Amino acid sequence: MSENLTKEEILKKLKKLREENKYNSELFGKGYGFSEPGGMISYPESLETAYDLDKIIIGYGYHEEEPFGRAVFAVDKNYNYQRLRNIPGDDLEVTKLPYGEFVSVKDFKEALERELSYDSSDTIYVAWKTGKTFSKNALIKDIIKTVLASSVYLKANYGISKQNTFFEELTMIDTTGEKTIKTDLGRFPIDRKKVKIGDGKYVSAFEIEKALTNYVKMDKRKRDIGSIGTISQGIGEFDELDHDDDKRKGKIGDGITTTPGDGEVPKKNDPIKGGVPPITTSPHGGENNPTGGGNPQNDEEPIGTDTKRGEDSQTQDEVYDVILRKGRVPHRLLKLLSSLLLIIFLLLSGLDITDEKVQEKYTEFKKTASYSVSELEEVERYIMESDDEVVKRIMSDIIVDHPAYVEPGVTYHESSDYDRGGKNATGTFGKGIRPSGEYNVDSISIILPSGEIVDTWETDTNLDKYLETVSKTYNIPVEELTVRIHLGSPVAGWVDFEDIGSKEEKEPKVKQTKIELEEQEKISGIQNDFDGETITFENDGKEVTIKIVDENGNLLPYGSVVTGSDGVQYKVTNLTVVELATEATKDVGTKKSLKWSIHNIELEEALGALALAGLIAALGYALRKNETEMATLSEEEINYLVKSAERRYASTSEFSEAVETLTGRKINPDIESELGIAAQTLKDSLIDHEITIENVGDMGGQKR
Amino acid sequence: MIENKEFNEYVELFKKLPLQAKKEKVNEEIKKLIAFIEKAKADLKIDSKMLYNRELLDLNNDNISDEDFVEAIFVYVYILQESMGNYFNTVAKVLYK
Repeated sequence: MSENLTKEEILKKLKKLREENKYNSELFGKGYGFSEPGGMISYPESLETAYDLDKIIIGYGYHEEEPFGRAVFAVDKNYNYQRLRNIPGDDLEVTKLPYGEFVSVKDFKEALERELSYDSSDTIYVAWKTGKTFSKNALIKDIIKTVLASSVYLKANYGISKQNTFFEELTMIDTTGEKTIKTDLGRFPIDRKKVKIGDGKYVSAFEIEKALTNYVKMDKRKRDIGSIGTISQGIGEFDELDHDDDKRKGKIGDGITTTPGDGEVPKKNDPIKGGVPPITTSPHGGENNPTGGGNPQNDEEPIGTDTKRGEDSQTQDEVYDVILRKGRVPHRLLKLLSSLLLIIFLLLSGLDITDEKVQEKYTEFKKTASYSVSELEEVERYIMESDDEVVKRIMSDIIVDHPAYVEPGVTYHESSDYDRGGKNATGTFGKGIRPSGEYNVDSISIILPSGEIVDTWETDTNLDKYLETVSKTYNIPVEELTVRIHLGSPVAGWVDFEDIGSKEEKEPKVKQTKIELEEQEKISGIQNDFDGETITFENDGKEVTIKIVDENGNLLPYGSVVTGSDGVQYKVTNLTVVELATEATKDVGTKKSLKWSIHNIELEEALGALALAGLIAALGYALRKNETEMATLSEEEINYLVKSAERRYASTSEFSEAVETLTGRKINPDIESELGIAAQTLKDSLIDHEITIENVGDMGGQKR
Repeated sequence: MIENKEFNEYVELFKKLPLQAKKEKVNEEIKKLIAFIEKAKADLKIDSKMLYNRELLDLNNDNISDEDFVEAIFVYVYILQESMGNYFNTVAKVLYK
């Protein structure tokens, strides 16, 4: 579906995205262009990454009050950026500021020096249109001089505020127009300044790129392959990416026609005008203007003025290594040409008719169960006799004329009331004449609190019952009665009833054994995609599923015990189920989409294409030398040759020029007012357009 | 008319391409042109629907037949006509009295 948004709609969307913090990803991805550095300003995006220099950018900026004004940004080498100033759309003076990137002259000069330092001392540089030659230093001066014509000046004043904080006051001075424009960018507290770029001259990156295309490099070192230079007649793509010095020897510039005739391959000893790249005609129609015959500036070196055409000079074998011309730069400088390259490749995408998935949004409800369960393990429980029960058991075992056991050390007495005035001859079991062991219970004597003795000698009288009877008969609580037992056979004497019984008998006995379920360690977890009935977890390395709802589908209450799929019982200790609604999409079919778009390509893509340029040059040479060799070339190689020829042709094509105009400029304001349209620039026009064919049958054409 | 060396060279190399590659190249070049015009229209906020016919879909085939290719190009020519006409009609309001 076409997404022709109005500015208001874009702004609305932009604002919304800002609020949602998606500003960078979504809008930039669609190339709407109302962006800050990192997105597009007025140059293709990859230019942002092409420079590792301090720069200032003048581009469209978004701000609430003046959404279509411009803004000035500072961007440091690490691509940190800071908006320095918004420029309202109605500020007529300031809005004359040029769009674009301006890089620090100082940085650029250093970068250029660094780049050229890789060249040997034999290298000279030639302005290919005029034939003037330059030394390294002269070249730098010439380039800087050229680009300074399009500079803005960033001036910084420093001061101390009333709050004793240091601030920097920035002013941008633009001299590129008819009038000098001074723009106050504002005061920035030093300690809060996000981007610290230096003051000084900043020159247009675009002008730099343009300036760089004016020069070629000549390298005298590789004389043995001089004839390769003839390939430069037009086929001459070369290995721009091959920036290794050792490999530079094969580079050739197609802008320098070193051949004696179009399409001819010169012989090694063909006379070529000395020293200077023998520019006879350039593909751009430049006149031959040998430096040797020129009037070099002080720092220009009249290279090769001692040689002339026809001489077997050193320059016959020179390899013309073009580094500074359109589309032909070594790796390090190539990045400075990204804008130009990108324009060349700008329209390569064109139209695409594709099958697109048609997706439908729907709301998906998903349940999540949070649970805690405990495995229940069977445990045996013993219920022991209490002390009273032990006493009662022993008492019930004391029966007249039944045996009873006494431990050693128990004292026996002559009378049952020995402690109340009765006779008290004593002995000890286990000592003397009466050993410990079993004796017969002869009689039970119960002494009332009054001292009265009630006793029985009746066989099979149980102490427990007898005591109860006496207690009831005399209405005296059992606790107040004293019980003595007479042991005989052989005759021993009276003992307290507590002394009867072995140690074992006096130990509490197991009264009852019970099997109980004991909770083991708690198992907790979250079950996504809960099916409404069961949860599955792992216990002892096994996967266990339990049902956690009752027959009515209600969650089981706390403490419920359920049997798992492993046969083990589990106690449910916590259950919580949450239902979430999420947006999802599903494929419901396909549709045909017809898209057209104009966009810049990735720099890597451009570099990738250029990387094969050396191969193309050789292939082109071989092809022209002997067309039969074409049969040995792969289709891919031929394709590259075609692409190469296309690019060369594009450099002369009016259509390409129109493309450049269309993408590099904006509508004339006068025409704008005539047409009643708003100003457009490249960034506006980079919006992808898409036409979706939802119903092919309605679009005409033969039905199939 | 004018002869252009670079263009001649380009054409010579184009001639070396296999037929299928030639078709793709033609397709690509026409798409460029359409994209260019549409871009120019977008600059002027000329909002118009591009002409369409399903014969274009045949261009998606890797081995498009000669007949299908010619039919698709036929459609392209008319798309170009309409796009250019659309653009010109807007510009003409300014340029022509």
